[in-house]
Amino acid sequence: MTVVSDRTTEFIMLFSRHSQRIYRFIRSLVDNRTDAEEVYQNTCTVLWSKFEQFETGSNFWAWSCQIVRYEVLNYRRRQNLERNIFSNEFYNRVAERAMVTVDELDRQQAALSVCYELLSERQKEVLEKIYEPEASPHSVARALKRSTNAIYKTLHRAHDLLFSCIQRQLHSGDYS
Amino acid sequence: MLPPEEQEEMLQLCWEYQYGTLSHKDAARLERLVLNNDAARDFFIRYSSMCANLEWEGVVDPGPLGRTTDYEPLPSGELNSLPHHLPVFTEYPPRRKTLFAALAFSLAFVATVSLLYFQPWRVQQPGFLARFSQTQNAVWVEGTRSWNAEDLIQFGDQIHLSSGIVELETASGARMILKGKSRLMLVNTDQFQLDEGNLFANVPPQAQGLSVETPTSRIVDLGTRFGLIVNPSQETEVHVLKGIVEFHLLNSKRETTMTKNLFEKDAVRVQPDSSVITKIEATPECFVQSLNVETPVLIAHWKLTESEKSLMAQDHSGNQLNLQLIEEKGRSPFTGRQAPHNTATAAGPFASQFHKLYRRLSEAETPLFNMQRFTIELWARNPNRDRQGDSDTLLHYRNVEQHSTSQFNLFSDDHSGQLGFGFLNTKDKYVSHRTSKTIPWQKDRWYHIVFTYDSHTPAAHDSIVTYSRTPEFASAPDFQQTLTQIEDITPLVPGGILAIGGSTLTDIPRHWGGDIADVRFINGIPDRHDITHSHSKQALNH
Repeated sequence: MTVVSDRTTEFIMLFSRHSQRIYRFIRSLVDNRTDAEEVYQNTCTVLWSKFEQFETGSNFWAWSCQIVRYEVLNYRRRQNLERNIFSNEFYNRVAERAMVTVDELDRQQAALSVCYELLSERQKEVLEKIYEPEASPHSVARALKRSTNAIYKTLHRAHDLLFSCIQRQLHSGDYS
Repeated sequence: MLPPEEQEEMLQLCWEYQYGTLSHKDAARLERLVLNNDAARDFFIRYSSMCANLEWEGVVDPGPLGRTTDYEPLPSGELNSLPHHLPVFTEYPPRRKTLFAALAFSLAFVATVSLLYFQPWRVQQPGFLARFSQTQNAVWVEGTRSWNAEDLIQFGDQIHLSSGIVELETASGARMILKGKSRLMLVNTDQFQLDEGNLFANVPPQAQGLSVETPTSRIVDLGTRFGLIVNPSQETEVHVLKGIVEFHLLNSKRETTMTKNLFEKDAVRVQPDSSVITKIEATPECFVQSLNVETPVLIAHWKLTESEKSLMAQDHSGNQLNLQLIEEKGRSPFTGRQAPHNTATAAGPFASQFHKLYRRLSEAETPLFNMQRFTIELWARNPNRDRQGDSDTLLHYRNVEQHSTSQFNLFSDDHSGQLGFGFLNTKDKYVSHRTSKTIPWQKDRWYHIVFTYDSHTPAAHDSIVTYSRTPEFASAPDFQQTLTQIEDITPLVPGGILAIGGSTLTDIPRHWGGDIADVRFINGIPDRHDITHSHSKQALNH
């Protein structure tokens, strides 16, 4: 019983600290949010079911990444060929790089909160709505009584601003 | 660092990739940039990462953006304690509930299993690496050990099966079924070596990593069901029935020269001393997947390409139903009369003499063909209507000593294009049926013909037959019909002749006027063809 409870605690600790990293890693390999969430949920289940094989003290992040890569392979296999627009090499190179830049991506996460405050109220409103569960540009457009095209433009502009701001923040050294 | 123009371009491409519609042209451009430029690759990852961070609030935390962005970045090194920033939620969004429900279920399941596992009466470590769980008509190679159900297998043990079917179970829970002439060795925990034979493996999650080596390859399981065939010439075939396997091509020093992930429904073949991996069609029926459940089994598969090997039936447990061919001026095995000359101008003969094929089925071989529930698949091409006869035979079985007519016959009428079949019923009377529609055969076009027969129905003589024809490159059949209230078929009488493409092989008008290839006889009805069947049954019920 003790063994089970210790391992469960260990899993919860490790998983809590890495869950967002895992989702980020998946998102670099899956091109849309809905599918990425599905892969994420499958990954969570597999991580838990295979946790018995994980050696305490070894690298949970690296272990998780391997499982993510298999889950993403499974996902891609299920997609129509037309949706697999990139080669295997593309995904392999992105995955390899994303695994080792995890610290930088953690810093980016912190910079995001600062940059977010620089957005206009209207941009924030659209972003908040669009990232609610099940939301789409169409539903946001309806909710805000604006055209879908206008929502797309606002989103596009907000993403550009956020990304440029995050890069500047990171290069300024405040988040290193 | 990317130059400003490329940054601008990457920004646009990444946006389109994540939230818009990336055209194939733009996808190719994005791929080139990411593969050829480290800075572009980092840019792509950072952009994806930003999207993920924004979305994360929707995935896990329903609150407005920024609510939980006050926690510190995580170091990638040691992880010592639970994070302080774990939020306390009073109302969870549906997706989060689903996630937690999945996790809670997994935790409960593992805890239950663990509780059972740690019961004191349970032996924690199995005392074996693998064991025989079942055997079915197993005959062992003379001079080698005869194994029985429940026998334990240790390192270095060799299994030399001559014929029959055996099932092994590893200590980690993987199940393997060996069929027909096979040589298998247990090399280490969950490591096997298959030198020859037909092997099916069902590997549960806890046994992932199980590997099987063949003379040319190493197959590592990544959570899957797969089949392996190593023929006497050491050619290896891998068929993935579910999940993924990692396929390693080995050189003569047993070093990996190429690795490939194979997915569900993928199949490859490797010739000995070859560095080429050839993609082939996955054929689940080649493997016995369970000894307890009736699953479709491929009894014979004649490829009928223009090579000598194509005359061999690819598979059955210990039975090689190889075909014979009639020489250009040979005699018909049915009548003893001269077979028609195999010239291009004669009526009926094939373009190649390889296609005038037959086999006399022995007493041991006829029971292999289950005439109660079966599938026949083949590809046929009709090159010239002028060369056809009145009843073009695709596949035919006849015992001339017992019956004056066919026992079983698949054909196509050359005038109407109708597909047909005939057989001896249980009163020894020949009955035949034709499909209702006229379907022309385009010149020089291959068609995939699938015939299924199912007498496993509530009453006698209410068997169901489906016939379908699919043109090459088409995604759906151009003809499909279900026939009901069909009488039961008499089992094949031993000593008869199975002919492909001809009735008596001297009866020119009944020769198939074109090519035939890839002929399969399957006991049972594979799922891919049973879909038609179930739809038809549903339609019948209405």
